[in-house]
Amino acid sequence: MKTKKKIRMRLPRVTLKRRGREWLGSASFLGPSLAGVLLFYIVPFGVVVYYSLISNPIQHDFVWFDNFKALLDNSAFRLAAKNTATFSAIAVPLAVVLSLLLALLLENKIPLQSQFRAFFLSPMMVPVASVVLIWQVIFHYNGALNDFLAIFGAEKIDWFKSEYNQIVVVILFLWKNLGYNMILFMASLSNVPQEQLQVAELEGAGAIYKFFSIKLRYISPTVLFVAILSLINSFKVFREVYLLTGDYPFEGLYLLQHFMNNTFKSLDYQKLSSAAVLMAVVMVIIISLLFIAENRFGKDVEG
Amino acid sequence: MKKTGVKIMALTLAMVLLLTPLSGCKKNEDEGNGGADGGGSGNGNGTGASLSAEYTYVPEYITMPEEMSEFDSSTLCYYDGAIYFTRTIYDYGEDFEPRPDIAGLTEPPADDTDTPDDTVPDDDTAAGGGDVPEDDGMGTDGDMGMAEYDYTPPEVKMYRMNIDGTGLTELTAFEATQIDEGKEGNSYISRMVADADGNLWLVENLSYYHFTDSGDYVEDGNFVYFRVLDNTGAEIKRMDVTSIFRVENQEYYYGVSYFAIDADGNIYASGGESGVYVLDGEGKLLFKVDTPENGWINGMVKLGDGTVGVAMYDQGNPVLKSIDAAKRDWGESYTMNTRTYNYVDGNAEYGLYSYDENNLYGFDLGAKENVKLLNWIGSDINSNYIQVLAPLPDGRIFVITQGWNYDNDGGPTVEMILLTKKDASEIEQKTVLTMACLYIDYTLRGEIIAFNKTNGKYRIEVNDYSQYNDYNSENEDDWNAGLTRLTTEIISGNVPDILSTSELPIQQYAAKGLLEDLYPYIDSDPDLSRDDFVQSVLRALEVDGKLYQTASTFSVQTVVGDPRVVGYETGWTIDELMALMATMPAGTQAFAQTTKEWMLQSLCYICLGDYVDWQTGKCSFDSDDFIKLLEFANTFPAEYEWSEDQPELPDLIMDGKVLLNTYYASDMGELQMYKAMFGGEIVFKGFPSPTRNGHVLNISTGLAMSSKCSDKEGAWEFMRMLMSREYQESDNMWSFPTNKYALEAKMEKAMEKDTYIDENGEEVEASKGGYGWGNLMVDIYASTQEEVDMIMELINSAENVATYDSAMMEIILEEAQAYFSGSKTARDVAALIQSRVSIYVNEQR
Repeated sequence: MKTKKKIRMRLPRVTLKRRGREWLGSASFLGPSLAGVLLFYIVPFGVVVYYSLISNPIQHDFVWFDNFKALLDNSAFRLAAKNTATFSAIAVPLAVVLSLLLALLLENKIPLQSQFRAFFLSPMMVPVASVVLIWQVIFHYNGALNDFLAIFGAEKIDWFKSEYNQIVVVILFLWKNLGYNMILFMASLSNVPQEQLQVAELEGAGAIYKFFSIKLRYISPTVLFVAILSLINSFKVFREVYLLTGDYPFEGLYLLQHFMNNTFKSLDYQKLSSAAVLMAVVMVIIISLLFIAENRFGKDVEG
Repeated sequence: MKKTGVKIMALTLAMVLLLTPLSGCKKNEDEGNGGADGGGSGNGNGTGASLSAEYTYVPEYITMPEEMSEFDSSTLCYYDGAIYFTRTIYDYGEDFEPRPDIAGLTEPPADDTDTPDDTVPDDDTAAGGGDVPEDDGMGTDGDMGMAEYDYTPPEVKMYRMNIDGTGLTELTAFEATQIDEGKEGNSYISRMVADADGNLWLVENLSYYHFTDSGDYVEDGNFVYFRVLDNTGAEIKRMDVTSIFRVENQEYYYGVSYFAIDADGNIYASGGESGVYVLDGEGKLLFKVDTPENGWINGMVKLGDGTVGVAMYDQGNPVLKSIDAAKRDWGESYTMNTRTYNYVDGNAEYGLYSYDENNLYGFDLGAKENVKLLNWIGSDINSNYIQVLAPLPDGRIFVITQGWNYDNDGGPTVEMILLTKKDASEIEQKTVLTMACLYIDYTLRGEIIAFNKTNGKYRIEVNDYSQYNDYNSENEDDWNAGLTRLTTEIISGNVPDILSTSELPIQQYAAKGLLEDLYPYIDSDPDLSRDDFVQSVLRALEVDGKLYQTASTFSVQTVVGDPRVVGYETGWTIDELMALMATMPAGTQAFAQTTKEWMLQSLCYICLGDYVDWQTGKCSFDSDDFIKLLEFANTFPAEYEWSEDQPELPDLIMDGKVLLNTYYASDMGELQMYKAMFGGEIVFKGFPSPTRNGHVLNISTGLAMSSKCSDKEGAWEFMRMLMSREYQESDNMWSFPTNKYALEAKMEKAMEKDTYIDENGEEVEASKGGYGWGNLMVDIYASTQEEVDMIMELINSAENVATYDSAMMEIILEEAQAYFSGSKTARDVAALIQSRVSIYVNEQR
């Protein structure tokens, strides 16, 4: 009896000590990352949420959703949101579709295949300042494109300060992003099981059928990934737009990041934090929808 | 064992990773150097947390003999417990009557009882140099008529006095170099320093000149001497160094502005331009070191190590370079504080001292860094008045200030002060109120010091955030670093009690709930009411019916013209102005010496509010009116080329070549000048504006109280003082007072006639001063009731407050360039401005 008792007493002690040591070991490795995430992401986001719910940083009165209501009433925010949504709605599908088409094109045995690949990847290596300079040289009111069009008697167009300005930036966005997306698609396409494609071919399936029924299903996770990546990159195009047009561009190029950047500069934290929270919510919704879509498309091939 | 080592290493690395980001959170050493870092009174240079100083410098005021009421500040030097200085005593003669044009520039004799009162102009008139427009060239032609008295060269006397104010002795052995008999000229001592043996070295300049029959001034020669005197004033030696400091062709002569003696007795002297001449003790030129290209000298001191250091701007950056006498070249170079511009000899403790308007610094040559020693306001010293500063061997700091007492006889008020370092616990504790500012004007600085000296309960400490602005930076954000810092501190909860509103975004602060509505304070004040103030000013300061700032003075900016040409009715639109210009002879300009950009900027500055509705966010920059404004601005030249031969503005106006001029109404004096300029009549037409009200109020010395103020009663006590009738009726007010009664008193005073008894025994109205501008010569007399009514009507009708929104102006000017250069039409540009500014306005709402 005594021996049994001793065993009962000792076993949990050993386990606890070992577990404690394991926990300590894990914690020491996870600690820095957790602390970093907590310190630089979770806590600041909590502060942002708090700021979005108070009257101002001086009085700290809780006003709940008044800041969000004021934000939605603000025409500058609405314009920024509309422009950002429009830009993303145009640029992201184009970035996905065009890069997929290019990947499909380069999948075939065409002449100068590697040169084309390098050509499409080269914009990734160009620094932002140079991209901006190139775009200014081309699209400035007194730039190369207007000079070229003048040969045909066309009127000058202020590309950055007219209704064409989003087109200019969409071109810039595609030029910068198509190459990388294309590489991702090419990698994904190379992983499509050749047996299935051969069977389909033997059974008389055409190229379009093979693409939509087999390839697209296999590459759907990549489509989702490229779509999310392009969506994020579409927000990051602000960097180029800012360098091209400054704090307050012509209305078509006024993006959400302009709004946030400017409100940060003027230290209007209530507007800034409300916009940030709202944007985070919208992003979560969009990415969730993309995940749902991907689940439905790729379910059968992923098992 | 091995495992344990790996674990320890992993744990260490994890700790390093964890702590690395936190290492960036080190407190900025510049912050709050109020004492913890060994320096400073803790009264100004930092955040609120730093305001609890460990020590402060306490002033002790020395009673001075009457002779010290006037002295030559450039010659005052310290040696072994005593100061040595000279006084220049003018003898104006019994019949002295200053010419109107130099009346304000000439210091009246100290005890000249024969001088008629009317010769010294009241400072509420515009007489004298102080109110002359910058580009007028007034009084420089020498054609204002010859002097009405026989000129007697001033007498220069030298004195010695103990720093406790005792033992004032004239050094009778001293003799200033005399002007040769029968010649006209003057001599003056520009610098005096004491060497290690107590001998006095001085720089004496002699200038000979004469006036031609036509009144032109002609130089007949300049001479410069270095003289060495013993401590009784007796001359030991004299060196004629004229040949060294005279430019070869003798057309230009550079005086000696900077002078120092090193530990070996070598002389260092410079005129500031080309370099520094180094001479041996006998006046023989040893060598010269040239200033760097595009550099200029702005100070010379004897460093603590016995060498001589030269403060200069090298490529726009302030540096101090020592001179290496052995190498005969520049020695060590030290980076100086960008804001300091006054340098003082060093001692064993610090290599040199320097001060700016806020603080005194000691410079540690070894560590190459500035250490803040004290804050001027914290030590009750008005830095604008500092004439002499000398750190003493016992750690005290000797200061002489010289202010001007406008309330009494207009003479200088000299104070001799010994600053002693004391522990904070030894000092009487008062409730501290912090004041944040980006600019503190001359008047406000004086009032804060006066309040701190006299108030037994409260003390105001000033944090001047402009010290964080770096104007030498290429990054524009650094130019406004002070404002960013202040706003960031406010947002993070470190809110000052009082704000000096100059250059601060008051509307934004008010919108954030930072500011207290001051109407309830006025309403409950036993001595003040809303009706006590000029109503147009109150209206202009109001935001949504609340008063977030007070102001003690204001001026009105408008456009003045000849009513017979521009019409008698006040106010007009841009259409009417352009229509008028179309009827004028070719070559007639609306405004003189103006460019397209300047005109557009001025018009926007005045009437930007007409095109922006901040309530609704609606802008109307695409309106025909704004397009016409662009077109009007485009009628001016792109660049203004100034030339010496160009006629002055009054001549252009009198010849009818220019129709209008901007008028800043801040006193009654200039009105008579403009009446004379426009042929006897003027009308305040105002800037062209869609509302026809183109008069704009400029507010100065604005103060606001923060809603988080730690002691609102104390803050109001200070603020109300500046709003009181008593304060605003003092002669310290350079513009119109905002207190209605003080303004009325000012107007009444302007209407008071100055008189004197002429040779026939009759009382005659005397001029209060005069203006000479180009060919226009005007004597100013007492204002008439009509003139006062005219100004009062202008004040009461002004509705707008001048606003400069840099972001909006940047957009407007950027887009307007395309129109001015002919690339785009005015309508296209207006549409672009409309789009971009609308975004800005709506974003800010």
